[in-house]
Amino acid sequence: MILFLQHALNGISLGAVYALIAVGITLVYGLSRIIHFAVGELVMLGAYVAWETWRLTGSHTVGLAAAAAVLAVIGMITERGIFRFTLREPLTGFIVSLGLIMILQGIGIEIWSADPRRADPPLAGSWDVSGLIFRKQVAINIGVSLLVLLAAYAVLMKTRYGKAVRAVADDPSAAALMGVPVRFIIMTTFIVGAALAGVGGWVVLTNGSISPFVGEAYLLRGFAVALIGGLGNVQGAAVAGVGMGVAESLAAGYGSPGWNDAYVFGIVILILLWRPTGLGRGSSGAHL
Amino acid sequence: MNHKRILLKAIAVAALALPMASATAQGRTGVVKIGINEMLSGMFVTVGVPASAGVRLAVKEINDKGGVSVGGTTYKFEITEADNKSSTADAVAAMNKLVNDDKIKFVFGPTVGALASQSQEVVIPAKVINFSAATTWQSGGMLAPSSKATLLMGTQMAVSAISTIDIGAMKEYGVKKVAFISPDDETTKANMVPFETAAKAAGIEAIFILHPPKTTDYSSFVTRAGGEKVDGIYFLYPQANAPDILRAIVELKIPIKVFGGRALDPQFAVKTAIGRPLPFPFYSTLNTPSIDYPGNAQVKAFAERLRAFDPKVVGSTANFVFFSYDFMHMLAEAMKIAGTVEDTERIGKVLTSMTYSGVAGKICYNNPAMRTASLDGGLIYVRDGKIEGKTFPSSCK
Repeated sequence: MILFLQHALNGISLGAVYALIAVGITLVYGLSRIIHFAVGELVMLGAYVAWETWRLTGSHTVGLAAAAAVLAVIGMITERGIFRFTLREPLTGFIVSLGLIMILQGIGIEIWSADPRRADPPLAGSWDVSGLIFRKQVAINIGVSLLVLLAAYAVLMKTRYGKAVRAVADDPSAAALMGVPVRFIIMTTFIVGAALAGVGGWVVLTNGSISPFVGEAYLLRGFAVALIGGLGNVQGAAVAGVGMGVAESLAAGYGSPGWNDAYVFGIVILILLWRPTGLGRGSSGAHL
Repeated sequence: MNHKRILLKAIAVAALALPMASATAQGRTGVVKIGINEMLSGMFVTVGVPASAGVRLAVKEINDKGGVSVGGTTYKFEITEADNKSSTADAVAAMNKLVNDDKIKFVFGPTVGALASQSQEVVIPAKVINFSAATTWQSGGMLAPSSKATLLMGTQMAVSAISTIDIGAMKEYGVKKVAFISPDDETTKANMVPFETAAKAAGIEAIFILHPPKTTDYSSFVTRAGGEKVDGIYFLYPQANAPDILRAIVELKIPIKVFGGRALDPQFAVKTAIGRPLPFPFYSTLNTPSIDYPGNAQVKAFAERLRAFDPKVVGSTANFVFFSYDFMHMLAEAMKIAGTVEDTERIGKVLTSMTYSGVAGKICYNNPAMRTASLDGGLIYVRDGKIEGKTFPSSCK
């Protein structure tokens, strides 16, 4: 039982990153209908920003703030410079995001080379609670991810801005008639989505080594999580992210570990065959 | 008019003859191209950079001494280097360029088997001599006497010999059950059977935990090893990720007697990713001598030369320089003995029948079962924060 719980705990840590990415994907999709595939590369950039900041300042806290802030700016730049021109044709936006993957990876290789980098972990060691091992860093990462996700949820559900986001997601035309600045609101979701990816990048850095290709593994899972949670459904994405992480960890623990990806995506396929719009509510459209 | 023409012709002939006469007086010269197809970036960069540096240093030394004299012509070597970015597709593309576009007949790398097992399809039909430490060549029978790929030259000892050293160290620490953790790929699979055979012979149970390539969070796999009640963990590669797995083992409190790995930096054990020494012993098997912990004066002098030549070649994986450095010198000697720089089959036959005295001891292809090289190997232990080395000499005469 302890072993099972240990695997589940390991999985929650993985799932926290998937949830951060998936919420970003789902927010952008909910308002723009653009499937932003380059979000994995935003995680990679976030990890490098955190790493560079840690090298300069020696502080992981500053690294976390810098990763979120710099990625928010990158999110705005990509929306203003690229995605706003594709809002009428979301498919074009999707293809553009595929191209962006190559460009951002190339930039990563050019600046940092393809060699793996790592930072000294902010918190080493673990707590032993009746045989269940809580790695301190993992606890911090889960806590940070949870706080960020809760904050995002609270903003969406409890503020005027959140109300505007939900109005645009439900019916952009009606929202515009009511005086909601639709284009501006859409831009902010790109900013928030990128900032969440930046936080995800920080978590990835504090867990292990990073390279310009680190986003690849997280992108597919993040996207699968967004699908399972229901595209456009923030709560669904968060829950599905943790579920995916736990499933992956259990697969590594009890299945043939080399088949880990196959198990995980096998589950994704089964879920989508059963519920094509995902497990989350109203995922055929945008429900924030 | 006729006189004028004859005079002009005479001047033209004289002009052409002069440099030829000069060349005859000074001896003929030529250039032999050497290709390098290595992981100069990407996840295997720590392997590719030293392997490339070995060729470059050897070529510089040979050229600085005036080149190699073959059949009355003095040849200098010219390197064309390609970065395969640790990717199989890029390795094949790089090999295509080196072999088919640049017409190069001698290529070093890729050193990692997962890449070499694909790029070999380019070199075999082109009759190119290809040096690589690829374990997949061993497991795939490419180096067997019956194989038609007679110009693939293995540059590391047989994996079975390395596995025997690996398991010997596990046995020394009283390990009864060992987890072998590595990516699920061809290189790993090439090492699994010899490891299991050596473990069985030593009375140790081996379990294999293969993870998806590009894994950096090892928590799940280490937890599984703990659940299997292993008392030893062996990590094959990628070497750059060793601190990640060590951190997971320490933080998840997996009770092991020893951690071993292939060509790992012992400094990982002295100052780990968690900032303090490991709570268990550590060893690293080397299928070459150690650059950081040289076993003799010759290796020590070479290590200093290498550091001066390429300061980027550092750490325990600097030992991968031995998969190319001596072999480049050996190739030049083989060309001299064969009396050709063109006939790769003849040069290949000389290579497999000669013994070359290099920095890594006596080097030869004396394994009747496959074309794996014999050279000095080593083992590095870290016990109580102290680093000790041990040498396993080559079996060449």
